[in-house]
Amino acid sequence: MTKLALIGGVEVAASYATAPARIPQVEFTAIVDRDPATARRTAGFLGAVTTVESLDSLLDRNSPAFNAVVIHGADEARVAMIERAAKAGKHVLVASPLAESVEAAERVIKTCRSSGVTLMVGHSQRFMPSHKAVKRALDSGKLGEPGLLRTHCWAGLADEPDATAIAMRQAVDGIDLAHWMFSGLPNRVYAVGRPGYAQVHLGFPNGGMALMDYAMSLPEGDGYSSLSMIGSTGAAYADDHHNRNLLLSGGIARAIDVGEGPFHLIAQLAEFVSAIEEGREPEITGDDGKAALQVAEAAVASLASQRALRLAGGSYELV
Amino acid sequence: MSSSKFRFVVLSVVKHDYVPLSVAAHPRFEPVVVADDPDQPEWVHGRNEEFARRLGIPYVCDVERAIADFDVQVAVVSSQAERHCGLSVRAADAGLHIVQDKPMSTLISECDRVVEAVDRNHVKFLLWNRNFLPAMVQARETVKSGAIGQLQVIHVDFYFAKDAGPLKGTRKAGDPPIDWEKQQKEAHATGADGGVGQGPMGELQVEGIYPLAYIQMLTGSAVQRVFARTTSHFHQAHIDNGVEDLATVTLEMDRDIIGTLCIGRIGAASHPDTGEIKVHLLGSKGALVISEARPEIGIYYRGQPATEYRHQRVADDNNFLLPENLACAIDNDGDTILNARVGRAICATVQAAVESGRCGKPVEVR
Repeated sequence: MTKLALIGGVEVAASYATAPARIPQVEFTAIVDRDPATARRTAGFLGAVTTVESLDSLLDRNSPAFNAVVIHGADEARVAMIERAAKAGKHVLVASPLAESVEAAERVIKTCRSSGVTLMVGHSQRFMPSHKAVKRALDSGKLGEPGLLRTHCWAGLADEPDATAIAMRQAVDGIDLAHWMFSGLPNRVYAVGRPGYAQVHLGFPNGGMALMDYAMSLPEGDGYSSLSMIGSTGAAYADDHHNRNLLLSGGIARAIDVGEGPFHLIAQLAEFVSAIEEGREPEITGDDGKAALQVAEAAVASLASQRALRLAGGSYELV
Repeated sequence: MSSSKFRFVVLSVVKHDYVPLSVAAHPRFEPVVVADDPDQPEWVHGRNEEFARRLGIPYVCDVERAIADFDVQVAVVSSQAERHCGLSVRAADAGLHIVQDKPMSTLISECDRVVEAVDRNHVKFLLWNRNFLPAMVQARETVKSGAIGQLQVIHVDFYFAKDAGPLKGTRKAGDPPIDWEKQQKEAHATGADGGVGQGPMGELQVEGIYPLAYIQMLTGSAVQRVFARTTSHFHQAHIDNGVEDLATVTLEMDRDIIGTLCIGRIGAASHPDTGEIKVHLLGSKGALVISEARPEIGIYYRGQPATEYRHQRVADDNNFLLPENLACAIDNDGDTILNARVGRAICATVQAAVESGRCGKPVEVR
């Protein structure tokens, strides 16, 4: 049985509620949140017994209660938290991005390796049912050689981040998706942005390309996402536009998103738990997380310099 | 609005006969002659003659004589791409208004000649486009209404689900490279011959005008700089002739507008219909997602041929509204929806994108 402590992540707690029913070898035993009321509410969703305000408290008071942590949020303290958990022998699933920089990612990876714990990065887009179906079609050969990955990812955030912040946070998950689809790192990176918006343009060694845009400036409410994978002999389209139903309640009809539910988080958690129990590397390793950050940092350099970067000797340089 | 008719000459119709046919179908326009230069190859004359026969009008192997003898006011040009501008300049110099098939040209210098000739002769020029498709009209009106605020970002994904000869990697050892013009001539039957001519043309050059015209119409902004990735991903003909059939372009435009264009001739198997063509717009107050194909209906039946599109566009008035637009421009001494200057700017954007795809760096649009 894998006993999990959920750190942060009040916004996803409800999504994990069905995890114990779907993943029999899992239970949430502890909730860590700075706000006690939030921690108690989250514990109620997940059936957890212990609530604390910090990971340190949890390790001090009740370390045997859990053997793995799932980290959401906690941006500033994330790296320290991963290292603390790893050194205490706890396996780690951390939501994307792995860290705030490649350098920090390398530190975290080293700590987890030397501590002998499983580290998995939650690039959850890989686990979305639609994206898995596209990847299956690609892997089966139905689509031929991947040529173009085109994604849109739009949301509304109260604190509209700048393009650099978007590249280092929201875009990292999509960059990992591109690596997954093209089975490797891009050899060209170019990015442009404006307040609340960034777009990342990647070229891959086989001529493949990815163009991904992120808008965090929508009015409050629904977001939008779509993905197209154009291969040499076929194409796949996973598009919110297609997956909307109509609500007619007076005035202009509304297009309401059917959505894919929390399957991605449950599937991601199942993979993490399986990796622990089988003693193997998870599907998304610390090195995968670091690679995505490397490209994100190249995108930031492109934003700042207004130039493209190319991959040379394992790192990116301005062209 | 005036009801007088404009008599028009069809200057070569080796490619998209829907251009002169659409003009002919409009009540303000009357086709009176097809003409071309005598030194053109037999296959060109063959197509011109067949078209002339279909419309019951003469075919004259002398462009200037046809213009002089048939009292025409308009020329409709649908020749091989490399002859587009030359014929348009001659038409302008003869005082004719012009409807020209796309692309305007693959050379900026040729586009400049047309801009100069059109200005000097005070004639109207309309580059064929899709800006009057119902979904694009909706997009324009929605943006204009302010529903999404000030437009900040625009994306056009423009994938034609058409084949272009044998697939990449199918040429057997010892076989010669595919001849571009020959392959395009063979594609005429399926309408997939947008690149017909001696010079090979990649998808940016063949079809880029359509999505770039959308971008120009919706933003009113010029493209300043591009970064592109280009590749021959699908078709042997494109590899053999060193042109792309798939491209992605980051667009940096004036007034701080950012955009993208993704374009490809992705193969008939890669979409159930003509292709995936969508416009995504982000503004200061909201966003808009447009499927260019709508309105459309679905028709499915037992034994339906694989080559028959399951979805058909309906209520598509583009091919009527374009000649209507030209007629209005002539009547009111106004401008067309896609004039020579905008056509030239689109050509320059395409050329910059092709160059960026080759060098791997951002390129300024000239």
